[in-house]
Amino acid sequence: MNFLEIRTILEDELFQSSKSRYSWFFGGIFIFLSLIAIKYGTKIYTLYSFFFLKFEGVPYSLISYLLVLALGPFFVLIIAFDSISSEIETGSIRYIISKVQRSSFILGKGVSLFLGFTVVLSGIAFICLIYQYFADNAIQFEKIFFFWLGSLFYLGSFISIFLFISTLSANNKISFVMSLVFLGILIYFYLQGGESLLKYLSPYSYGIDNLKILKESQIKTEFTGFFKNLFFLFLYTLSFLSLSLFAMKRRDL
Amino acid sequence: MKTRNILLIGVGIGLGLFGLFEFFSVSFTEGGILGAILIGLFIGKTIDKHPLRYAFFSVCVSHLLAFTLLFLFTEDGKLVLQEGDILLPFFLGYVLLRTLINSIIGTFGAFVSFNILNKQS
Repeated sequence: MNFLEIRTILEDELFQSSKSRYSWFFGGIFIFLSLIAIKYGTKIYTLYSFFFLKFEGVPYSLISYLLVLALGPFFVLIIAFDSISSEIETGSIRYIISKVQRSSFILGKGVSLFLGFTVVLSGIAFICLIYQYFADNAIQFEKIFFFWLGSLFYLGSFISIFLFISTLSANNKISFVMSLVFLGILIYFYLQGGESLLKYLSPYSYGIDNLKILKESQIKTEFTGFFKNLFFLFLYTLSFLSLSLFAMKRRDL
Repeated sequence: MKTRNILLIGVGIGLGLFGLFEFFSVSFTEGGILGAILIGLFIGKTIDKHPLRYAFFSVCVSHLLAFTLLFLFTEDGKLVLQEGDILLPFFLGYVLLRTLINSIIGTFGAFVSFNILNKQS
């Protein structure tokens, strides 16, 4: 692993990759959907707040977080599924790994995707702040920060998963199908719920558990749970990145 | 070793694991998934051509066989047969759905092990 090589891959991926325009396009759609959800979702939410919630404030960050929970993994899938498999399919990976180490290549790709989603999530958080300001509500920095941090770790785990599947795949078609299959398996694991241990194998479980901290009434009591969930998501990310490195080192390219 | 033999070994492992989980009262869901992953990993590591296809068939056959044996030789199975009309389609639907999902999970296990552990990949 060489930091200079990782930086080279990172810069190449962010500024010169042919895929970057798709990343910006889908990132833009994601931000647009968040804006729509904040605008209209809160209105729907407030209709039912009389029944379900005992506070009057509108939780913008909660609406955005729900959107990230539901649609985030699919956006990550669309952007990340071909990040390595396309290089393997075209054969360009042979030229790259002759100049940089395989581990640097994987980490560079992972960090570039992670940075891309950090920018997108920062955009959504900024929109939340602007909307709070113009709606004459008190700006809730801490909630926006928790939304940003929770979403980042949640999407980070999915980035590492799809990077791993992309590393294993010989072409984009296989990578896309297998990513969808694995996403389905993770949803199935989460849906087992209850006393089943299977739900703890899915990042959905930790992501949905983090919803608690975005509800205003529980903000002072759920710090431990929140950081525990972040730790598990981080472990998830780390284990799949390690598997990607292991797979990349063993593969005959 | 011939692919046909490995397919049979996969089915055998699946049946053995199913019996073991039944013996230790592990739930069908968790036991079935664990069994499917183990069969998938074994087949992906061993077979050089089309491991996903064989993993799918192997998990499918082992699950169907295990559920059929369970259905025929246990008290619960007799209860289902005696109840007849409504319970039987429910049971069949449950078995088929569970088999399909576990086969897909086993296929994914084979995909991972074929690309990481198999030298031919």
